[in-house]
Amino acid sequence: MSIIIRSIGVFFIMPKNTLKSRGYIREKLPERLFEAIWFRFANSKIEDLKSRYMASHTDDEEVEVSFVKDNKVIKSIYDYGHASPHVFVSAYTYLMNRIDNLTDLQKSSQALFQSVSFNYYLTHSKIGHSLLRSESFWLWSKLLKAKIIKKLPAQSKLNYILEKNKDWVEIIDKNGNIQNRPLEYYTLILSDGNQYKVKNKTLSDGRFFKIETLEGKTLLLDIGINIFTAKIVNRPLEYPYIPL
Amino acid sequence: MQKIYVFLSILCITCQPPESRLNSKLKGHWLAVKREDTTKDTIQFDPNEPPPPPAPPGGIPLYDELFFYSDDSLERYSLRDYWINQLSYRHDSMLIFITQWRFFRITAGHQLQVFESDTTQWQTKGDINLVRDTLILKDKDWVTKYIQLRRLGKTDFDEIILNHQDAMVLVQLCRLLFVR
Repeated sequence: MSIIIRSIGVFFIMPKNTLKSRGYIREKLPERLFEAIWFRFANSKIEDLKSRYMASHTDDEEVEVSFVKDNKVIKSIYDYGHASPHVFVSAYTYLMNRIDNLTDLQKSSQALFQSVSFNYYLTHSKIGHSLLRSESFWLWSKLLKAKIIKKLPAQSKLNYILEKNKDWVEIIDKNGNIQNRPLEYYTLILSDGNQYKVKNKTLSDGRFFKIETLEGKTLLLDIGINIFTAKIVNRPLEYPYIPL
Repeated sequence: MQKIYVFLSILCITCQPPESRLNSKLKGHWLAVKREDTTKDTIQFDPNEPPPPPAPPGGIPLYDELFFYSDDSLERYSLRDYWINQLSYRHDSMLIFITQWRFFRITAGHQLQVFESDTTQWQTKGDINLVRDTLILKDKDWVTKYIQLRRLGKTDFDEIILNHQDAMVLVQLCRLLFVR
């Protein structure tokens, strides 16, 4: 499950990946539910939380939560196996349970939501680290809304390489066996309404993105804000530890 | 005959029914959270509200009796008798597990009152607001646990992004089984 909850306008965003449409759902949250979710997270004192929690056992679920203020990531928390403080665990468990129970989402197939993966890897000046999936999802939602521009501004230098982890698909070969193969592209529906198959590797400076499609077209996107703040770029190399 | 009447009347006067939780006057002073007029992000504090009680010395629970009032029932639990094990926020209401078998549910209409036993410091009254007034369970050590009421302040973020991944190993295993 991936979800964004915004206090301005009180709505939530979830990815949508069905045969008919790919993009995201943007729906209004009930005011009372929003308050309940919001104040539970406020109660968990995010400034006192660590950035990474690891349980000592294996085969458990992982939850990544990011908090954004004025379009800047102020805190990202990686929690493996519910090892974080129980106030924070109860906050995100409440959020996940209640969003599951929303009636509008029950009509659509939820199993397909999991097929959208968000995993971006950031490289700059020979140093690289992966973004958290919550940050990657946030970036993906910004890319879908980005303006398509024709020319980059003169002062922009695209120093960062952003690479999306390859999606794996099941292909039936000639012998009838199912094989998993990595995809060299992923699909984006941009603000003009068209669906593009774009390559995994992207050049960027945090605000402007230079994306190449499979057909050889070059797309220039402007998301309006600088997403690569010091919090994301100057992250320690070992962070986050995601067992693959 | 007169002696029997006198004896019975004296017996009735002296042998009052034992003091129960329903007929006794509640002793001590209680502590509760006052619901304020609040906006979406900020909570305004009541200037006339008395200051909170002093922090307890280490190892001693702050409140030793816990009273829950609802419209039709009065529940009383003593933290000395029952340890509060778990606090759950998973539903609209809040569940407090006293033991493995006994729990009670608080919803927004209930009044939560926490009594202090031996102090006469201050009194306040009000309904609990499950959203903004939050119960926090604190562990002092392995034995003593107590409950503290805390009011939430202004939040310093305006977006929450969550990503949840299931246990991937299990998913892969199931997938292999189905394929075979």
